[in-house]
Amino acid sequence: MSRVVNCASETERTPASGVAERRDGEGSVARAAVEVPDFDAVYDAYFSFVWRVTRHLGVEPSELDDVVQEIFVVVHRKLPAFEGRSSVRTWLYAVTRKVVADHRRAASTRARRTAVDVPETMAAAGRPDEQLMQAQATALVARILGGMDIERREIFALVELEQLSVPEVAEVLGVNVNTAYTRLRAARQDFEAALRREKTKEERRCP
Amino acid sequence: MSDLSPDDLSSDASALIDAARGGFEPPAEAKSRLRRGLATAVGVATGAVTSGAAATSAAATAATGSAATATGLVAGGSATASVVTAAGTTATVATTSTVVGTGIGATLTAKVVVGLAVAASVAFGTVVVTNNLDGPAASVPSASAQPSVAPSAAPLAMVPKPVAEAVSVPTVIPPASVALPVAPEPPPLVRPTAPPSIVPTASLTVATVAATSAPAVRSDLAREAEMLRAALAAPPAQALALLDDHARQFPRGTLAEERDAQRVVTLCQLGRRSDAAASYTRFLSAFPASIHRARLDRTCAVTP
Repeated sequence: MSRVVNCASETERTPASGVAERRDGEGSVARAAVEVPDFDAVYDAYFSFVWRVTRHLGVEPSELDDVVQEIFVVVHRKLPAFEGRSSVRTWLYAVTRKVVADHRRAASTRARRTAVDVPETMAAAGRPDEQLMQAQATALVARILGGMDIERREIFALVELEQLSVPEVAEVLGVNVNTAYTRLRAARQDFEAALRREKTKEERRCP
Repeated sequence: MSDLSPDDLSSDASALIDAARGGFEPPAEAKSRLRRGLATAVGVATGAVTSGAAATSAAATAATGSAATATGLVAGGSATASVVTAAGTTATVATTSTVVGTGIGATLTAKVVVGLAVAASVAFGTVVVTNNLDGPAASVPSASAQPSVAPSAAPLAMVPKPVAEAVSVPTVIPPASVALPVAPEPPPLVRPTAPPSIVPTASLTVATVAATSAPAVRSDLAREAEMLRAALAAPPAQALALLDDHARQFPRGTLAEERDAQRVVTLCQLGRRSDAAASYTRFLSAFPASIHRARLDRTCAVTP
């Protein structure tokens, strides 16, 4: 109690300029150590990444806009505190996971369709039949991912779709590399099994 | 160490993944669309004082308006239809403020808000109107805090004008003009029947409306909203005709998405299921990421 009072009175007695100088000094040291990335630059460079991984994490296409926007709102708020302990991408992924998890919790109270919608992307600028094939492939992959356990889906998407290295993914997920490999192997098995089931279904439909 | 081999995906699966990868990319316009929306949301995060306050009081006014209307009903003065209309009018005032405050991304935000306001005021009644508006209205940013907003929204002169004039200022105002050239004969698009307490709030924002980059959006938006509200309130057969009117006048209107969504609903109400399904297919190709999807998926267009 008395300590608090003492501290307070000491602060009051400290010349304002001195305090300001000290803070400035600390601030500039911190700034020199960590280059805080500019929000617009981050947005520009990582928008597509965030969009994709948000999809991989199972957010419905109809909700992507909202969730991705929310992610960047959080990024905007937290970016000044970015400490450079990880890559920007890793940091962004952590934010994305958190926001998606919150979103999922909120969404679980609503009725949820498990099937993943047909993708809506118009990004592919190939010929129409190429676009169609890509759309079908994406829809199929999204559907299979949607049926997978969330942890396995996540590592599968990061390694196979985003082509991150397993050690990098391990860091992102906060697990050791062996655990990551084990999980990835299980995820691949799940994916292959689901793919076989899809094919069987397809063959039955068009013999 | 074959246990840890990272390369054990079958060639089929690999090929599928490779073919699918590009399909997960965002649609071409998503980046800029979200950037605009973000200007709105982030403006709040960085603490927008002026327009934030305006939005809050607009929301508060909307709440008051709704409450007053509800009271009117209890008092036995008005029929249900008039309650709906009154709530809609109040909602429009709040919407106007939002358009103004954002400057950038105004179209999208305003559209959503109007959509909510229109749908809510008709479908769910006044209480929901208040709740829904609270969110979007509160997220109005300080336009000046966003560099990307810059050319249009910077000047914030406050010229007190009634709401109706604000909405009906002609479409020729150059983006940067702050002085508000009042229309020679402004047809009141929003009937100035709103309670007097609303006027100051809305008028605060008038000059900024003039300064926003898309003046055409503003007056058209009010007319669009008016038409759509009428369609929502009308019986299905009549509603369809009104929606057609809207489609003729505003084929690419700000509320085209809401209109086309409502068409699906209306066709279902008329029992025209195959028409509804066809309409919904067209809707989805035009607005694949629509916020109305979840709702429309529950209509006869999808479920029997």
